Amino acid sequence: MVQMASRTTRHSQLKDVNTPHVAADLSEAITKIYDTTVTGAAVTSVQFTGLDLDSDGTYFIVIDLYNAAAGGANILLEANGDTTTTNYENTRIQADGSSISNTLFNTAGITYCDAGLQVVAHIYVSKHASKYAMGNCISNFYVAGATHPILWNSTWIKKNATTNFTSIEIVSSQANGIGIGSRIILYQVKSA
Amino acid sequence: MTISKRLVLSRDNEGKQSEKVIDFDHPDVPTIPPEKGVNLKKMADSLVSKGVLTASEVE
Repeated sequence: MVQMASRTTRHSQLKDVNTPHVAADLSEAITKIYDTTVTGAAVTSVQFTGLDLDSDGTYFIVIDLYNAAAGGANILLEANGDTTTTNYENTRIQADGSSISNTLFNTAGITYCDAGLQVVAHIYVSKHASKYAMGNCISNFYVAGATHPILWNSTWIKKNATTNFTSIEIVSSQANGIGIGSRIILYQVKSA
Repeated sequence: MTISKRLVLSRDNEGKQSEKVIDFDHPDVPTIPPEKGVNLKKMADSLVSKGVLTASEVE
């Protein structure tokens, strides 16, 4: 015979649903710094200036890009206007349906956007004074002819650089590969 | 890379977002597309069929 446990609830365990709770105030923790949508003509890069990553601690960047160029493009994350791709490094894990792969690249690449298609990526970059900046990107995109999305999860670092980041740039490896309608948002996540 | 455009975002003294598009000469960067990965289930099934692993080891 199964002995059922007692389901008696003490009065002190009941939740007071009549007292309104104070909503969490995230206004000082998460602040939208920039929000832009590409209009008029495609661009190769979108650069956010006037930043202070050492002071802010973390930036959260949401990108929703459309690649209007003729070829597929890597999307790069560069800092302080440094366009020397070998100054960056990333390790990528790719999941494509039931197949996986991982590769180390000596580039600033964080994700990929096929010609005429879209990528959505969520990027975090964190840094504190005198320390190295490190980032992560989770992205989701289709390639031509595919019936399922591909996942890229990339680490990102700017090698041997402890200087503050005052600008961050999202760059397409294809000229003017960030098409009209692409949107990029940068949030400050106060964590310094 | 051909002559291309950079969209520069900044904030003025009042905190208002401003945007301008300038010519941008970024060095060429080779595009690295997604690569063909390894299907772990097929690999495991193959190892089982060859007797390297048992079926219970790859469950």
